[in-house]
Amino acid sequence: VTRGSVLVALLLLAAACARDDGTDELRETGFVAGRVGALQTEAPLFPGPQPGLRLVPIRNPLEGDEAARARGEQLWTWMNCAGCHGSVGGGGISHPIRHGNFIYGMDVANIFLSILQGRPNGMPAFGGMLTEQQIWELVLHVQAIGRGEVEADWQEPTIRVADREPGMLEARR
Amino acid sequence: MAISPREALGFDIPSGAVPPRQATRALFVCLAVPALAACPGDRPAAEQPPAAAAPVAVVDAQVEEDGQWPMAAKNHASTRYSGLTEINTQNVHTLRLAWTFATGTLRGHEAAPVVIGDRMYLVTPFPNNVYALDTRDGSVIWKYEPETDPASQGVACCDVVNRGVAYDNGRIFFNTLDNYTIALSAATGAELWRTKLGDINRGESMTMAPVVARGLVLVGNSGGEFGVRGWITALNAADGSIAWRAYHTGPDRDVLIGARFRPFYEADRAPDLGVTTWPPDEWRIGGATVWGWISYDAELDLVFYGTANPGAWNPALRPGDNKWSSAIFARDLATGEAVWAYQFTPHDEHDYDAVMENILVELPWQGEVRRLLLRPERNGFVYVMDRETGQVLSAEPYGPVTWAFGVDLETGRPIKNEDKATGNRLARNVCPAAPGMKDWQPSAYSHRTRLLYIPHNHMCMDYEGVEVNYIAGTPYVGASVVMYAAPGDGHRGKFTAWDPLGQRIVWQIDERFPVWSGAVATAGDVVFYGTMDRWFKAVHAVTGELLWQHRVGSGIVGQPVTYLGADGRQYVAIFSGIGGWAGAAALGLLPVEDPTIALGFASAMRDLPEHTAEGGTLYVFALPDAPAGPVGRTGGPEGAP
Repeated sequence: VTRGSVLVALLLLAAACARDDGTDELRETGFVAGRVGALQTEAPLFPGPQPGLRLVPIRNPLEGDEAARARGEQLWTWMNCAGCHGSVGGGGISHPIRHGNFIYGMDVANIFLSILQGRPNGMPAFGGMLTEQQIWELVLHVQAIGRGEVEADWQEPTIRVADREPGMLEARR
Repeated sequence: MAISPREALGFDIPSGAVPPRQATRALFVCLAVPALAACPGDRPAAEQPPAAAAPVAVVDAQVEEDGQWPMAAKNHASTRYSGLTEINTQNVHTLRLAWTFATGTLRGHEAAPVVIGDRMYLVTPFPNNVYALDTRDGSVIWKYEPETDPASQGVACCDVVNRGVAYDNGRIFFNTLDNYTIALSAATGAELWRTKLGDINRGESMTMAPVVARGLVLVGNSGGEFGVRGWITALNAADGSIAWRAYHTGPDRDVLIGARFRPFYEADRAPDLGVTTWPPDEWRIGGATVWGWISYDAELDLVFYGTANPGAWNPALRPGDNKWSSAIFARDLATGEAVWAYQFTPHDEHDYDAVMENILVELPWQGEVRRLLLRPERNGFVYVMDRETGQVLSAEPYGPVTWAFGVDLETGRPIKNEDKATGNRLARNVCPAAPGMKDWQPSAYSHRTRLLYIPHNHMCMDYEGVEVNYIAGTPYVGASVVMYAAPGDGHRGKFTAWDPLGQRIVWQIDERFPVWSGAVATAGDVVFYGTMDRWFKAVHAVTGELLWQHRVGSGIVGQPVTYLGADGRQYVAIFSGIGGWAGAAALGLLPVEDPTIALGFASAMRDLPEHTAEGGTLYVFALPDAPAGPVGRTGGPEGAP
């Protein structure tokens, strides 16, 4: 990146700010990324909406709908998500997602695409089994897990030790 | 061989053993045992009084030994017994590191390295790279990368492990997680053939170590937690074509049950039990995979192996015996025809797979020498079986058992404790836990002490069968499980010397964590095993006394082997690299916040990360001043192109 191109970029940014209202619609489509991206001087190493790119973030259309999240929680069980990710996201076959540590991005768009299309290290594609509405419901629940808001029904305080009970067989010595 | 080894030696040797290049004899005719003034000779252990203090009679077992380790189990009899004596009880305390090798992978290293001539061959966890190394110093001779599909990691229930390669006639055979069996030239590492045997989109994967016998490569699938249909397959070693495949659910023609089938027990004799003991079509996703161990008796020409758990884990979904899950088969090697079968755990309700090692020995049973099959089983009993007929001669617990009150030797059926039933209900204090008294971790058998050395678990669990949907390629489990330590001080592992004739514990070592490594016994009366808290140990085969231990980098879940290097020295090798089902808690999971993860195992292992992190290194040990020389120089791979 030359000094000149940075200067041009800054000028463009100023121009973009000046016509802020006029470009929002385009930005929502996502198709202006190439043009606006020319303003950047680095390639960020995390997926999802980028600071400096004033793209309007994709929102979950069901945001705030607790009934929809509850349906998503049911889907979490029915679609066997818990079998790999843990009942509350503690991991298993997958790594944990409980603290927002999503390999493929924790933005709703990333989560939506992960469910729709699958991911190459073993996440299956569920697009053929779920409606768009259902995927958004599931995304709502996954977001809640990623924020650590979903707790297990119970937790063991320590490692338990079994009781010796009547009828228990023991090895001969 | 022209004469029976039993006739020649007065004792059994591994069936199908290669002709010896060098026979190493046991050093001692009998070991000094404090309670015995005279040599105990060959007196059958069964005749000894069953007192707790009964001494171990060490016999002069002249087992032919070539210093090689051609397959994970060492030989077709699966004894994991080496006749080498250079390392013994007197000098093992001086054992020191010879060389190490990092595999570049960081998941559970469950494989056994295989040694032929001056080379060691090993396979890593996913992506299942294969290396040939110089046995003396670990120099890399070749490397093979199979380009395993990363998506296969999503159908590996219990970490992306691989249990080893097999060597035969100049070739290396191994399985990949994405369901290929591959043959390589041992000399060059060049791929000779690869055959696809399963489909990850149906939940199948492959993790077991192949066994090769008479030009056939025996392999099986994994995926009992994904609603797969279990099978064993024999491939022609020459070109990778499929010779036969037997499924373990479905009609008799698929199970290869035909005219030769003569099971010992009445309940196993009706036609098409693989269909009739399931609700309609449930057998199509009924599990009964083959991810564990296979043995072969060349004299009987029979293959012995067990099948895994039925799916789903919620037994309410599958009323009936669910044949042939949690069972053992004896099959004709060339055709795959079933000769007998026996179900250890009909209608399994606790994930008691039956993929354990089948140790083939000839021992005097109640006065008569018989061809026996020893099986420390996942369901908590050590089975002694007649391997010609499939009769259960004995089934005794080797730790706390609550799911059953015993095994009825008339019918062969376990006597279940209905309080521990789990179909749509919660059962507490079920012992053993789902990984069993013992999981895949293979035992060793010493021909000198006639003891089994069993690495195993000491855990119980709460288990509740819950609803589940079958979706191909996703987990099909349907159980909420949490595990914990069996009665005691909180330790979760044992290493047990078991007398299969006296049916009792001879000595036992408590371990903090499940002993998830294999074991090796030697004619030097040393037994090796590793622990998840990073110790590689040598103990006295007679007394269990700890003779030596070495701290390694990451927890041990591999299989020790011992061999003669090209320099004539005896080496001992073991992988370090935590993982596997038991090691999941050390792979960054959150068992405290989410107690049922890793199928309920991780909760019982939440202290594991305090003791180990991920790793992936082979450790090789030798004595410091072992004489190099003419002894045991074994040359290149036999028949290598």
